[in-house]
Amino acid sequence: MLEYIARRTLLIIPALLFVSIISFSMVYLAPGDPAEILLTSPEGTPSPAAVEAFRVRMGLDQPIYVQYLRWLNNILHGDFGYSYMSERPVFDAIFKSFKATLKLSIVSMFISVIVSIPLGILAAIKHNSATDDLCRLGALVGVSIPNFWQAFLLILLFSIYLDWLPVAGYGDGGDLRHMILPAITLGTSSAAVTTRLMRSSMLEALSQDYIITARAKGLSEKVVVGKHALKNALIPVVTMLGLNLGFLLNGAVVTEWIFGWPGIGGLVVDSIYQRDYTMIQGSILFIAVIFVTLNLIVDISYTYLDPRIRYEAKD
Amino acid sequence: MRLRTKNRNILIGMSIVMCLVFIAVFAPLVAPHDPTEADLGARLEPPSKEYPFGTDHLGRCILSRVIYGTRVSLLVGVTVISASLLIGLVLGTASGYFGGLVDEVIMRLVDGFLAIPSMFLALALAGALGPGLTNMMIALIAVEWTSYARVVRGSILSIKDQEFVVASRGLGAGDVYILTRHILPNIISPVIVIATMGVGYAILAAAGLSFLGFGVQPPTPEWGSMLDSGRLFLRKAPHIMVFPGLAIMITVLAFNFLGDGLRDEMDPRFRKEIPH
Repeated sequence: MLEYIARRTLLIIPALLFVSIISFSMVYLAPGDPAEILLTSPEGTPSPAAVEAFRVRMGLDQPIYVQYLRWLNNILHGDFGYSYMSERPVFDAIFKSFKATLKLSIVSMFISVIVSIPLGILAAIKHNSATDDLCRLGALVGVSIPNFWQAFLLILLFSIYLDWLPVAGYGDGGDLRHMILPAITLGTSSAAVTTRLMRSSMLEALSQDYIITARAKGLSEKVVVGKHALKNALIPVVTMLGLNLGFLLNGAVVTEWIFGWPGIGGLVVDSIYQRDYTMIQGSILFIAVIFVTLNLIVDISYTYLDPRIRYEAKD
Repeated sequence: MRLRTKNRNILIGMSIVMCLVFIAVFAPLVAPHDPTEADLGARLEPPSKEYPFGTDHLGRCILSRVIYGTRVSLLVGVTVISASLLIGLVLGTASGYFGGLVDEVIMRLVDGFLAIPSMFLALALAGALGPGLTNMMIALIAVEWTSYARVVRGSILSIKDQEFVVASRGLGAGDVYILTRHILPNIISPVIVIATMGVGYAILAAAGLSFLGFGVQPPTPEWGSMLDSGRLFLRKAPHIMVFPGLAIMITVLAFNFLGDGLRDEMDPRFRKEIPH
């Protein structure tokens, strides 16, 4: 068990090193010279002297590996550099937007859980009935619906026709009224995935011998399902919720951008539009660190919660 | 694989996919108008007899654009998944079958790619490479191949030491023979299932990238970029947003139905007779 956790934790290092190389080299994947592209404005191409000065100022005149090592060294010391565009510290912008994303994610997760857990249980209890079919169909539709389209349908209904909620924005520090529509948009796909998982996990639990025993003892169906089956069925679902944050982060890219939510997804999209390379490099690396850590916690908690894995896990 | 199934999901998914392929192939015959022809006198018109899905901000027929958009989406979905599948099969097989250092290197590479949430990686790559159909597909392949490599590796690990493989080797069979005759046929089912669903996912992701302006460029009719151009006219002409989104959803849903059905069909627990 300890060996497994140690190995799993150490494996993060090469993965993040790889991510750092990928995010750093983004600048050089783009055709053309970054300094020249960044300085080119609608008024025309910049003077060679201005380009050279910018290069020196941003350290772009050094060999690539020197730039990379310096960048990595700075990051390891908590210095993510300065934005090419606003010239403000990259880390401050990333951290601020990540807080907004986290806030939105928690509300989305809450919406997702209160919808998916009861639906998954219901579908499993009424296995192979019309209710079950409806839940499964709903879950399939939920993962198939493009969230950017869903966002517009919600805006159309609740903001334009009914005029109940604001179209977009952060409001007063991200209040609930501004959060509802993006949170529903984001929560849908995660709810769909969780419903399916809850259903299959519950079906599996209900087919176990201890359920037959519990029924044979004369326990009521409520106790059998609610206590004996649910407790076991929830294990994979709870650990899966951690992985769901990955879904939420992916969905956040388009959703935050549409709703003008100042989170990290919108930040990355805008930075790419503006070719703000330091910001793109920093945010990708930051997201990866969060994501990898989260996956690690999920893996470890899963092995901890499920004794079958706890004793077998050797790899 | 013979298609003699009673599985409802496979039948629904398959019928929709066939319809979409038909529409894509015969788009010029099915579409009532030229998808790029602008009728400036009929801009932002709601659905009518002449334009069943209405017109967009340049007076182009939305129905015709949705019909032609099928071509791009199916092309992207199938190309991205075929390429990812090929890369995943080769690297996953090398990793699982040969093990050792090869395995270690390939799996660390997979870990590295999986460390970035897929949409962020695809977006950053598409943004760095610049807009366009080919660059978008490269970005999506970079995101997609890892899951196939992992599944292939896992399946190979689970069967490479089984008796029928060991027996074959004992009879003098070489690696290539064992891989193609014994191992691949046994691991292909789960791969087909995730690839089917993968086509839907790739179409969804491609539409998202095009929506943000990193994929297919106008005036090529593409569902994601159609939604992007309709964004500005949400109040005045909501019909522009409705139909392309519906097309994406139905297409992705069809592949999910198909994948879901295939999984049930191929799962030995649900299968009654052994297929030939």
